[in-house]
Amino acid sequence: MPEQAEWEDESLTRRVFIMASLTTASIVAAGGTVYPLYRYLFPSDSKGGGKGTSVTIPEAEVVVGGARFFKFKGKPAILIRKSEKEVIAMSAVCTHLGCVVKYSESDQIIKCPCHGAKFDLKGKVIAGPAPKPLQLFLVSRDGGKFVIEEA
Amino acid sequence: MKKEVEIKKIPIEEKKRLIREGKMKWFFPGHVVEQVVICLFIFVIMITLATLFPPHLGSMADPFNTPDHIKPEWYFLASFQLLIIAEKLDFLGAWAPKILGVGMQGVIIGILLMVPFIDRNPDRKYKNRKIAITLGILSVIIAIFLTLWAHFS
Amino acid sequence: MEQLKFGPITVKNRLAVKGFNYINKRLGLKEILDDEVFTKVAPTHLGFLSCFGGITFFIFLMQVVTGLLLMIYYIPDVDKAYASVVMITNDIEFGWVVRGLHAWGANLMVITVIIHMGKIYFSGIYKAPREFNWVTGIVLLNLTLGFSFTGYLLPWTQLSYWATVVGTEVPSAVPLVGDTIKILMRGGEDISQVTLSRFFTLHVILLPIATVVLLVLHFMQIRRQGISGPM
Repeated sequence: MPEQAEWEDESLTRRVFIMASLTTASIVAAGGTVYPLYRYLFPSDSKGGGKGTSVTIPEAEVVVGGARFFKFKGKPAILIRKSEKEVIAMSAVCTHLGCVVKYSESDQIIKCPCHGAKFDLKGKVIAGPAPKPLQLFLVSRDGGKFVIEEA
Repeated sequence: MKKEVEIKKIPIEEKKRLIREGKMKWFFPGHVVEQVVICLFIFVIMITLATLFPPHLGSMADPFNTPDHIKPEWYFLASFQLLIIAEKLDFLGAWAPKILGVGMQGVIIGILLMVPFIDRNPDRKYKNRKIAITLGILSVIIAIFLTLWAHFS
Repeated sequence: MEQLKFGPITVKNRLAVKGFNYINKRLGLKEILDDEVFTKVAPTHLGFLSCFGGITFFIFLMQVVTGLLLMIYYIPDVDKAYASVVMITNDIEFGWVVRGLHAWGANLMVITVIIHMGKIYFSGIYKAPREFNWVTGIVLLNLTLGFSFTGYLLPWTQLSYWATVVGTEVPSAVPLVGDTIKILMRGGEDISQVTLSRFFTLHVILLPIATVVLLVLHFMQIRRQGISGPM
């Protein structure tokens, strides 16, 4: 063990003052750094919402009987065109663990590939572990486009 | 290794004596506090500069459109100017400008690396190092001159 | 009553002492701290100009932190790089500060390196036994310039693109191997995606590793030889 250094007695108040001001300055600097850092790490559009509450999709992009994925408020959603006129839109995020669901055209149901949840075309759970139905959106037609809005 | 003792190996009694004589101070807290203060100061300067003079971001690169005045960043200006000067050496032959221009850069770095081996004079006092000091000041002046020249041409 | 002495600080809090002892038994921290911190001395004669080595190191650390933060959003792709830098500057909260700090840090670091070098030269500190540390320092200077050169291309602006065109053209003048060097730097005849990827890799991986190794060498020598005494 090296011998412990001895410390000349400095004026205590002076040292306390220096240490206190230094600590204050460091805390101010640290606080002034941590807050911007926190904000920097959360990109501005990560909170969802706000940005465009309606999405338009040209009719020509969705074949009759088929489905098309799109982003609604930053999250995957699905537009299903059952027939020429009958169109449904709903969230494509499985309410179980957040996987993106698939549309099975042959059985006319929506399946989740992760843990086998099944939903009907109204978003209702018909099988599997999903606790809640898929959120439905409103679809209207405007000229040659589908307009999807929150229900 | 002449005369300078490895500082760690100085016995603690000797260290205490040096401190009493005012030649040394404890690394902690004295020296550390100093360093922290300096770092905070630099940090404040950098934040101020970044806030008051945000870096310029020009337009996106266009490989089909060379802008008019291409100049490197300020710290490359001196060596950039050397290349331009070397272009005047074409009377030596077509090979000369480019090779001499680049050669000079290599030579400069080489000389810099070799400084302690070229200057073997152990004395550190200014008055006993007239050549080294003169060459040093001369290099600084030339570097500043070349930088300004490149900047204003 | 058990207590710990760290230089001028005496720790009496029982929990703190216990906690420290637990870790200390396994790591031997106390010995290292006593050796490297609490029995160490520093010269009192150091002036303003002697601080620039340390200042350069601090700016380097700032560059590492701000660089990491920029890398979170930056995309090294010729089509997306510029847009990602614009996004960092305009859309990400406090992104302009991070980019501003990184850009200013780059410039300030060159200045502080030059001042540090000037001080070492004019005070004759490079002389024996510190010759090799001067050499290490010159290599670090070149690494700093390498950082600047490679980093300058990354935002993919007109200036950065054309400065790189000119800058990578220069070594082609070297006899025999010039064109090979140029093609190696550019990853082809032109500045392209390959060049951007190469410069990005150099800037964020290779140069930092090299710099850290050189810094370790630089500091090991300072530790062994001590800070140079007065003239």
